[in-house]
Amino acid sequence: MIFLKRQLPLMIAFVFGMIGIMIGYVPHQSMEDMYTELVGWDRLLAAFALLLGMYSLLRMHFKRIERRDSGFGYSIVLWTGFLITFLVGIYNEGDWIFAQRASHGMLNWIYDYIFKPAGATMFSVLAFFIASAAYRTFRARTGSAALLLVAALVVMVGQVPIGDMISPKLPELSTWLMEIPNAAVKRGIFLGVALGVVATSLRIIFGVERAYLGGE
Amino acid sequence: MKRQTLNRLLDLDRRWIFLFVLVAAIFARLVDFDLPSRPKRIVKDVYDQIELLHESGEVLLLSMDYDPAGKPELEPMSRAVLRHAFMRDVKVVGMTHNPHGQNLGQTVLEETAAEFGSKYGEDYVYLGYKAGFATLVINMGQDFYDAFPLDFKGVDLKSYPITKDIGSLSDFGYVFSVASTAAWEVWMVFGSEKYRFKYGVGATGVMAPDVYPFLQTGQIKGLLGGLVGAAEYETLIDRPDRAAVGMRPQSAIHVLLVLLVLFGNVIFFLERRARRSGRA
Amino acid sequence: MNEHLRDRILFAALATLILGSNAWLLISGRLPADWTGFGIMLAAAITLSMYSFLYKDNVLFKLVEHLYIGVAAGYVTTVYWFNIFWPDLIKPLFFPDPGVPRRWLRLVPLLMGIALLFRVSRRFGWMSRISFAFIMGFYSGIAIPNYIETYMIEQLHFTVGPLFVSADPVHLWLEGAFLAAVLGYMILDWLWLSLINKPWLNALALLPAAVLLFIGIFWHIPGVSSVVVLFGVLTVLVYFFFSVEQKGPVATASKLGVNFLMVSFGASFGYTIMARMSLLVGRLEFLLRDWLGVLQ
Repeated sequence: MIFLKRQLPLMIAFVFGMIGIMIGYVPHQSMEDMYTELVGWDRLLAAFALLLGMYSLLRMHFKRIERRDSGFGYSIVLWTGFLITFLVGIYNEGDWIFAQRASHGMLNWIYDYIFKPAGATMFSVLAFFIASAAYRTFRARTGSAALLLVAALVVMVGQVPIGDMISPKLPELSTWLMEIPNAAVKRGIFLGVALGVVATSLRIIFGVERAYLGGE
Repeated sequence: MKRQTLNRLLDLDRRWIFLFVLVAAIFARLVDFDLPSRPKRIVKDVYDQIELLHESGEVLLLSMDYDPAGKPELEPMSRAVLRHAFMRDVKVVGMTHNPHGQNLGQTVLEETAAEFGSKYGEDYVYLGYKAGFATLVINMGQDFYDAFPLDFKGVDLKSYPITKDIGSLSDFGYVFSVASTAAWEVWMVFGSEKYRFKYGVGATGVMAPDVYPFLQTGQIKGLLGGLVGAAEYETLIDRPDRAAVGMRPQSAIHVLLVLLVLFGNVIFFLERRARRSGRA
Repeated sequence: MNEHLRDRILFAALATLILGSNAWLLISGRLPADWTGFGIMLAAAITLSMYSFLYKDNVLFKLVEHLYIGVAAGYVTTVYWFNIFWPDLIKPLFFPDPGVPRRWLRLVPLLMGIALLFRVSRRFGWMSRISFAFIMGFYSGIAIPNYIETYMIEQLHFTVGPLFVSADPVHLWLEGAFLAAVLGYMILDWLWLSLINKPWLNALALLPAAVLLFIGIFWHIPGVSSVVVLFGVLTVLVYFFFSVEQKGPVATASKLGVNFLMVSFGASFGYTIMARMSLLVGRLEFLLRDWLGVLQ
């Protein structure tokens, strides 16, 4: 049992990790086929992982309804939204689930007139908050802060057409800021990120990092 | 000015600022004035790639990797690029890495295709969503048909003239990802490096600065950054639409914010001076 | 007037506004009395309810927020079935089309997927470890070569790319001299800055370098940009390099790195503001054009 719970997962991570590193470099048809099959498995597992997330979201709200927590009415709304959309989806305009997906119909209506406006508006609310945050916190307290401020203002004006109307040099300067200092910094950061990814990946493959397996 | 007044200005209720932003945006949208966009070089690069497809007859893969949250910023890009493609008779395969975005891609494809009388299956195909991200890109590169045996309606891809000969990502003339997530990176890291296709990005303003280092190395060919990028593209294809008219409220808010920030700084320094002289 | 009462009046006004506008749009025939018209009205009501959060967190906002999450969950589940589970797993394994061989190998991801779902069970939770080990191990493996290639080899390649690109020899010499001047100055500056520690002197000393760079940029001298990029990458790396004590020349370099970071963060922030405002512009477009029809 201990073997199944502890050693086997680490062995699997090691074996498939090594396969993953080498597989792209072996130009043989059987390896290519194996690569295709393995990425196919990984894709399917990613889909199963989503079900897991869905389960925990719905369970949490079910518990809230069950316990009559404060605001459990919202959880009922969430469940109602889920059930209606889900049922409309599997009804599939009368064809049910073991068939082609209907490309038009009720599900598209729900998507277009509930999901789309809600999602788009949710994040556009941030526009107002970022405006207020800019007014409150954007202060040239120090030299570095002044630099940040100036760069931000130049980009803000230089990127939109009105900057071009004020002076054609503004968009040019803003483009230069993006292409030279910004690109240099991003390059440095990406180098660091890549090193980090490689290091973490090696730790996972060699079983040093095992937090993803959960406790025990 | 008194310190009290200065402090009150510094602590302005944020709802006033909300109101200013709203009024500026609505006002600039209602008043009609001309605000032409001048396309940047990186936007022109995307345009040129689509033109090259027109010459070579190769297929464009348009990956619309966004959901409704990114739609106002990114859909105008998809629309403009699609219009350009259909206008120049370039075949398009659409897809998405975002499960919430499947219908967005479908709608924008159907609407633009209807404008030009383009037909499903002959001029464009929509694959829809598949999970996997990095592994999906590799899967498509290794064996396109294994990753996408069917289109989003459940029809065999071998039955369409556009897709029947596509065996790998390298068979596409240009891959363009319109992304509000890290999908743009995934296409580059796991796709364009190994399967050697030309690759361009349409990114939200939040992510666009991250794309710049890859433009210089040629790892990414062409970038549309935010709604401004879409507006510039609309100018290039001479079909001003939502992005182009959006530039008026967009510019107005930017100017308002710049003024607000400058004003805030002036008040801040006045207040600091008043505080220091008060202490002395 | 107490705050509670004021809030109630405001929300009653909002509700009246939504209902009233919709009624008016219907009666005046601006919106059709069918599913599309009803959809647009509903979408507008959802949009305005969400914006009511700007005034204060409230019931309307929370209702719409939860509805949104629920609908999203329902939608995604059906997408996963029709796009993945059915065509890639169930169909090829259990209901293959005539003439197409059954894909027995798909049993492996099916079993691993079921094991993954046992994550929620206390007794059989360990089974999910096998699936997670596969996902993490395999992904880590394919990530290593791809990340090195994309972010390190290709990127460094450009960072140390060619400085001189002019074809005309006179230009080439002029550019070379200019670059030598800039670089020489920067190096001297850097060494000198490491010796003294007076902020205003530091700032003053940076000024000529900045002027030289500006000249280079506005005359479009090609090498200048490469030098700045190189300088930026190096100083940023020094800043992030914590293994060396940040003293003397290292400290100066890392300070310069900070300035590069600030410019980049500022530029990114400018872009972020732009992005958020675009979302707002998009919603206003919906309200003014698609819903109220006051714009064409």
